[in-house]
Amino acid sequence: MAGKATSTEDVMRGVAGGAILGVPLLYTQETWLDGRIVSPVVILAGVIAAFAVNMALSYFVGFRPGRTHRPTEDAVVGMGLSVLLAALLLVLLGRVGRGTSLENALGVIALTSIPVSIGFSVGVALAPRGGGEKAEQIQGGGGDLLVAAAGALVFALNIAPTAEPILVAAELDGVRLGLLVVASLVLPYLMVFYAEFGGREQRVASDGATQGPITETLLAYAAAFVVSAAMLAMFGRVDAVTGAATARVVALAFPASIGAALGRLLI
Amino acid sequence: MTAKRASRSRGIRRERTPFEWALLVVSLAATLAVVAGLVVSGLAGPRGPADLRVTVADADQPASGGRPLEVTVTNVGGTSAENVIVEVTVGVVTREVDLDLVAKGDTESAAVVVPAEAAGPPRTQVVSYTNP
Repeated sequence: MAGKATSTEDVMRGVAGGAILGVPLLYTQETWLDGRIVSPVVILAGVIAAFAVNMALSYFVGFRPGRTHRPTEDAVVGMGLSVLLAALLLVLLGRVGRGTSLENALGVIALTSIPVSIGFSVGVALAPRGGGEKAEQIQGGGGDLLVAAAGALVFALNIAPTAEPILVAAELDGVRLGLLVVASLVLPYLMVFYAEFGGREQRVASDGATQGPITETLLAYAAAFVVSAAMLAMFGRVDAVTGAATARVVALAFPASIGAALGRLLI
Repeated sequence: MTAKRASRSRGIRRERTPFEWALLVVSLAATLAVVAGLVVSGLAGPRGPADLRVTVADADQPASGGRPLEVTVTNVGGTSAENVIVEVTVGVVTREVDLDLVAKGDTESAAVVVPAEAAGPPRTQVVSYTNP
């Protein structure tokens, strides 16, 4: 009943769930503003309510299979790691920095960590054990890229028409943009090939020229990058190959790469 | 029945591994830090309306066609300020700087360029702002 001990793969599954649910909110400027404007007491009430929801979700779902006997502990782990993940991503995206007071930084981090923690607590339910119906027919170089592009499209289409990619790109220097590219590669790699979602062994063991974990991760990022560029061009956010346009595509390609990873997990 | 209960009990009371302890300690520390920070901010933070302090200095980077100035606004009040308009005067030249938001406790900066011939120390004044 108690099952095996919590592993890093279990934690990565929770982080993956947190990223999937939390990244869209990270790209919402109202969150950046409301985290600073709304009273800390109100945000604290939201965190407490989220913690209660996380306890219930940890009992019924959780971030690791077969563990329902320590929902409070699992909720604490989910909340704490979500706070750290949200803080890391907000710093990476330049939304929390030197000019941000501690109070405002805490407000934005706490607000962002709420959906991340919910995603953390339902991590184990995010991908079916056996993949989707007829999933085996789509696996292969072209099929994987297709579902990656479809997942990237869902996330990119939600964010591309907004001002957020432009705002994020405008405030990130070359180093931060480089780190964002690294995060766009590492996080999906860990989600797809390290977190113990259903079908992981099959994904890792797949052969073929485009089927190695690293090659597939790079190709999926390329797909997310192209989809992001196309979406930004469609909404008139980029119209030439310039440094500013590239920065906007890189900024949008991060959530798109999370969507691409989700697409590969679900199929 | 006793054996069954003992077995279930053994399963539920499995000892935590060092990794689980580490996870729990780090997570608890992060959660408590946020909660404590929000409580302290809510109880002991500044109250009252926005209180905007403005400083202006010559910008480090030169600008073509004028004298660049960097305007810095710090809000030491208890309420955030939106649509902040700051008037910068150098000699007889006046320029306006708009800031979308200066949250309570935050510092925001913006640049403004005045003509190169505008001499004298720059003076600033907050013209208006709105409450969110």
